[in-house]
Amino acid sequence: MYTIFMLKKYEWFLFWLTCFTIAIVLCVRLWTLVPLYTDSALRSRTQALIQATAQREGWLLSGVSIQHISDESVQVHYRAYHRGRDDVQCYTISQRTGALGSCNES
Amino acid sequence: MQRILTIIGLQAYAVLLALYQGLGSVRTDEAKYLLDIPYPHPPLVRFIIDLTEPLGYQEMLWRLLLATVLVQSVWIVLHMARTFSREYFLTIGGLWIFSAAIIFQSGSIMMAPITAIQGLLFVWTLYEVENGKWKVESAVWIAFLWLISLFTAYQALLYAPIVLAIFLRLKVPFTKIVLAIGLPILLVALYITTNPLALASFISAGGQNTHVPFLDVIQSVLGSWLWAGSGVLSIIGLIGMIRSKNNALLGSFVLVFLFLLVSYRSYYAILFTPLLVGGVLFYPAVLKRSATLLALHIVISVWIFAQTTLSFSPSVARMVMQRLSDVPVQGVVLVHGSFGHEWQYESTSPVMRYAPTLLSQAKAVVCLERCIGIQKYNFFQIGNIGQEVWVRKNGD
Repeated sequence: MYTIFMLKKYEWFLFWLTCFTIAIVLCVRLWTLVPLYTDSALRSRTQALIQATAQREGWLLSGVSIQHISDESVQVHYRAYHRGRDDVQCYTISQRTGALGSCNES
Repeated sequence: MQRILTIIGLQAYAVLLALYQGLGSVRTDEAKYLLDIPYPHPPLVRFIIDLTEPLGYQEMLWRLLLATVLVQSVWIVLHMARTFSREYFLTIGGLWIFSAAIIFQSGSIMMAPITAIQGLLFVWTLYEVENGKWKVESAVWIAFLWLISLFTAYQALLYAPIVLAIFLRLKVPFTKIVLAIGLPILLVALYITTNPLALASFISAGGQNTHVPFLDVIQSVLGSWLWAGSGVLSIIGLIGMIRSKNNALLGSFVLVFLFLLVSYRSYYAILFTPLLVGGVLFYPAVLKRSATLLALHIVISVWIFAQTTLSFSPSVARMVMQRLSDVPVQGVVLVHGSFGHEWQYESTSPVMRYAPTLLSQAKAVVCLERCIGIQKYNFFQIGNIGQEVWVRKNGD
């Protein structure tokens, strides 16, 4: 009974807290993508780079997730979605040469 | 006892609808949700669906679950109609479960039917609030439902006028209304910016009707509205909305209509259905001659069902991938040509886009477009499969 009373008292607080938590998680994710939105040259370069890499490596774009962007490289996760265990692999793509390397190598 | 028998009868109906959906194998959009491929919708429901991925019967489990939810949600409709005469009460229930949208979309693993159920919950809340059943303390649960709905699918936004009406009728303070409605919308907008793929598919979906003549688009959208309620519910539901002067329902109806104009997909038709049922509930006088209406409704639904072709054979993707799962060679499956996510869902090996340089990693090549010169790389073609498929020779 006490728990229900407490829940009733704080239910709006719980709602705002849920929204705030989601906002924090999304902001952290957005932070890594900020260069894509602030630098149009970098954005078009990155888009072309990822598309070219995906075509060369046979990747499906839906499996590519950008983790980090800089002028030198783009770090991506690739997951080949299929039935069963489909591990996420981490790669670094050089902005200059387009060379693909594992994150462990760099 | 009567209620238990009704529940069992409805469940049998739901099982039949789920089995009907399962006949045609997994479609590309369904595969996207079953595998939790992160676009275009927010992650909430597809993440939950993906948790069941290790289960061998994942597809049928979700077909059954979603068909059950859609069919058994008739109890929500009946709850709203509890004060109606018995004839009206049964008619409104029949109008829901025999609507073409319910028949043809129950058991499809898509976000639109889930959003429609969320829409029905909003209509139910609005109805209860207008009848003085809910008090201001309940508003927070609407706020949570709104947040959950938006993180299920963007289309929940189309029910915003109903959510706004609920908050206004509950006399929630204005600032709280703005925050409770606006904050979840902002969060979804933020989610889109964190997912460039969702953003790209959003832009592409928004422009998909631009090359179609406007009259054709209007015709398709009107067809969707008629189909959603098998004609009868579509017409009396809209009349009910107009005659009851329910601006919340009308506002949502207009939004769904406009949304379909710019981003038409046949499976969005079900988004109309809860609004149409709401129209009837808010103006039950449209149910005059209810027996005739229900009979006509069922006849039209049966007629629509009779027009559909039933496919009892598995999809090409399922046939090919089942055959390849028996191949005792490790490696990826390369697919040449344009293909959907169902190929990924049916495969136990990674699926990649074909490029000659990747042949060394491949255990098989599926040629949806003609492949040239594969045999030079120690692959042999397998027959009787209805598709050009090459498999690596064992030991290479």
